Amino acid sequence: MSLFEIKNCKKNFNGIKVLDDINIKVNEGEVVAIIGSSGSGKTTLLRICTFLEYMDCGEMSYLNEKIVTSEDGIARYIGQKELSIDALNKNKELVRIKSYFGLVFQNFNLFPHWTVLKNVMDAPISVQKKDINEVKEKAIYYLKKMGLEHKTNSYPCELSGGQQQRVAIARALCLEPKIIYFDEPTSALDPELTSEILKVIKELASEKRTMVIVTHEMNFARDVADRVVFMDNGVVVEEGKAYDLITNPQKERTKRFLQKYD
Amino acid sequence: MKILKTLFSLLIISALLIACGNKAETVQNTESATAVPTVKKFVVGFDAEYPPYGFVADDGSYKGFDLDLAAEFCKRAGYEFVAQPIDWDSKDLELNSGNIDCIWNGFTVTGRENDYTWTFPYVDNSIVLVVKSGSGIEKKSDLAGKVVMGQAGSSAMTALEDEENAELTKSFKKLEQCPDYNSGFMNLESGMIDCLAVDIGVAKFHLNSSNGKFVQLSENLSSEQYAIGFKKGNTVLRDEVQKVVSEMWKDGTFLKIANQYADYSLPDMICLGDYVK
Amino acid sequence: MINIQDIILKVFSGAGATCIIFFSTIIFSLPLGLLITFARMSKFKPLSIFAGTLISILRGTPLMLQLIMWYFGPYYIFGVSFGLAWRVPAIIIGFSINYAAYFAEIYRGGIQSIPNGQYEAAAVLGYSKSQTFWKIIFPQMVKRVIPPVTNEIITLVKDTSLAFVVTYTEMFTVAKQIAAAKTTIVPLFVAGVFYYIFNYLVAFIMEKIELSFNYYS
Repeated sequence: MSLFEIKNCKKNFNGIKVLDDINIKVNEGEVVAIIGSSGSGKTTLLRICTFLEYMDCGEMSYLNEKIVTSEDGIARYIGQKELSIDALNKNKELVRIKSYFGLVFQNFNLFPHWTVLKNVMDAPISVQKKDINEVKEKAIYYLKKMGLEHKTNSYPCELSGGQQQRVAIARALCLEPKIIYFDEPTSALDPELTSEILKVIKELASEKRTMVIVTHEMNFARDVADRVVFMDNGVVVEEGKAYDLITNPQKERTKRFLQKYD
Repeated sequence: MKILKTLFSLLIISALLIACGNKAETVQNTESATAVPTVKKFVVGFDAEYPPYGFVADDGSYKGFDLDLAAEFCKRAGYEFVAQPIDWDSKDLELNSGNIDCIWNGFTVTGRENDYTWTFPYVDNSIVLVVKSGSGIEKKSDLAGKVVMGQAGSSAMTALEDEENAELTKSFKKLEQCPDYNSGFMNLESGMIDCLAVDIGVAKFHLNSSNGKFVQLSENLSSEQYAIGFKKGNTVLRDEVQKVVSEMWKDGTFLKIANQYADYSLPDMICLGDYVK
Repeated sequence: MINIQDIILKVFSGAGATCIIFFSTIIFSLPLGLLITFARMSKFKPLSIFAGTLISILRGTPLMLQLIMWYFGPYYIFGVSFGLAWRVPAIIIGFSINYAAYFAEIYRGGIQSIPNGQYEAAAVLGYSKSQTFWKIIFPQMVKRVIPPVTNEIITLVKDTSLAFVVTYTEMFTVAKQIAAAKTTIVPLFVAGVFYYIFNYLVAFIMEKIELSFNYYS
C-alpha cells in the first residue's frame, strides 16, 4: 500500500529551480534513503513533504488521499486558496494530515523550556487531545526504547547531542505516525554520537517502520534502506534497490558522487 | 581689526575716566555737604533685610529697588541722599522725631491708610483669585466645595496655607498645586479646577491676553500695596516726591530701575501706571 | 533644628502617590506592550504600519509632553472636561502607553531572537499558531526579555516624578516643596534614598525572577 506519493513536484526560489519534476512513492514498511550533495534539493523536498514549504507545481497524496492536486499546472493544496507558508500554517485540513508523519530535524529543535518527558508528551495531548495517562505511558515506553528512561526529568540543555536527537525521535514516535522523515539526523553530531543514532534508526527499520531518510552516510543507506534515491541539481538522477545503487550505480553522476565517499 | 582695537581701547579709557570721575564726585559731594550745609539732606528710613527693596549687597553697601528710586529722586530734586537703616519696630519713632524724612522700603499701605501720609502705591503685591468666565463664582464664599489651585512654592500658596485663610481653605473641596502658572491657567481653562490663586501681576498678564476667558474676583485673597510713607500731615514733602516719581514714571526711568530687579519679578508687580495720569 | 523624622514622614506621605503610578503602569503596560507587538508583527500591513508609527511617536516624544496631552487633550481637542477625576486615569494611561511602546519593542526583539527551528518543530507536530506562541515562543521570550524589561522598570520608578507636570503631587514634588519651605536639602536626600531602596527592591525581585528561568539555557 502506498503511504506517500509525490508527482511532478516543482519548486522555485526567486526564479531559481530547486526541484524539477520529482516523482517519489513510498510504500508501507519501506525505508527510503535520499542521498545527494548539498544543494541538490533533498532537504527542500523533505520540507515540502512535511508542509514546512509549499510546492509550486505537482501533486501529493498521503494514504492515497490527495493533499495537493494540480490545477492548470499549478499546485493546489486541500483547504487553501493561496500558495504561501503562512497559508500552510493556517490550514486546518493539514493538521489532520500532519498526524500521518513525523520529522526528525538535523538540529533536533527540542523545546528547551520543557523537560524531556514534556517534550515527548505535549503534542499528543495538546494537538491530538489524547488521554494524558495513556500518553505518559507511551512516552515513557519510547524514551525507554531510546535508552533515556533515566532522563525524563532532565532539560534538553543537560543532554548530549546524541541524547537530544534520541529525544527528538521519541517525540516523533509518540505521535504514532505512519511515516517518519529524517533530515540528516546525524549531521550535527560527532562520529561516535552518529553511530548511536544510526543504531536507533536501524532498530526502527527492523520493526518495519516506514521511513524516509536524507543522509550522507552511504554505508548506513546501503545497509538499512530498501531503496535509495540519488538527487542532483533538483532532479532524481537515479533510483533503485539500496545495495545495487550504492555498490553498482548506473549513471555517471551517481558514480562520481559515490566516489567521494569511498 | 585696527578699528576694533581702537574702539576697545577707547572703551577701556572711557570706563576708567567714568570710574575716576565718580570717585571725584563723591569726594566733592561729601566735602560740599560738610562745607556747605545749604544742600538739604533727604533721609530715607529702610529695613536693610528686605530684598529686593533694601538690602546689604555683597560688597557691604546698601542696595535695593527703593534705594535706587530714592537716589534718583534726590538727584533730580537736588537733595543729598542719605540711606538710613532703621529698626523696623521703631519706624514710627524715627519718623515722628524727624530722624528720617520718609519710609521708602516696600512699605505696606493696606491697613495703615490713615496712619501716614502716602504717595500713590507703586507696587502691588496682592494675590488675587481668578476663575473661568461664566463659572458663577463671584466671591470668596462661592469657593466652598470647589477645587482651588496655586503654584507650588509661590506666595499664593503661602497665603492659602496661612492661618489667616484657614477657614476659606477649609471650605474648598481640594487645594491643589501646579508646577507653573501656565499649567495653572490651562487647568482652569479645561475645567480641571475651579479657581486659581495668583499674584496680581501674573493674573493681569493672563487676563489681558486671554480674551475674556477668565475673570478676576473682586475680592482678593490678600491685598498688599506698597507706597512711600511720610509723617502724617507732611503733604509738602509727599507732593514733591510724588511729583518727581511721577516724572520718573513718565520718562521710563522708573521701569528701567524696576527691570534691574526682574529676578524678583518686580516689573510684573509695578502698579504706579494705574495712578499716574 | 530640623527634625529628620518629621521630614522622612512628610516625604514618604507622597510615596503612596508614586506607588500608584508605578504599579498601575506595570500592570497595564506589560500586557499592552504584547498587544502592540502583535500589531507590529502582524502580516496585515495597515495594522503593522499603524503600530510602527505609534511606537515611533511614543518613543520619539517626551513622556512629559504625552502626559500633558492625555491630561488636557479631552478638553482642548474634544471640549470635554472630567475635572480632576481625570488626573490619575490620564497619568496612568500616559505612563502605560508610553512604557508599552518600549516593552513592545523589547518583546519583538525577544520573539525574533527565537530560532526558526522552534516554529518549524511546532508546525510539524501540529501545534496551532496560538498554541505555538503561548506554549513555545512566549515562555522562551519571557526569559530573554527580563534584563531589558528590568532596565525599563527601574527607569519607570524614577520617571514617576514627571507626574507633577499635570499637578499630581507625588513623592519627589513633596520633597521639593519641603526643601523649599525649610530651606534644606535633606528632603531631597530622603527622596533619593527612597528611590534607591525602591529600585534596589525592583532589581532584587527581577533578579529572582531571572534566576527562576535559569533551569534551562
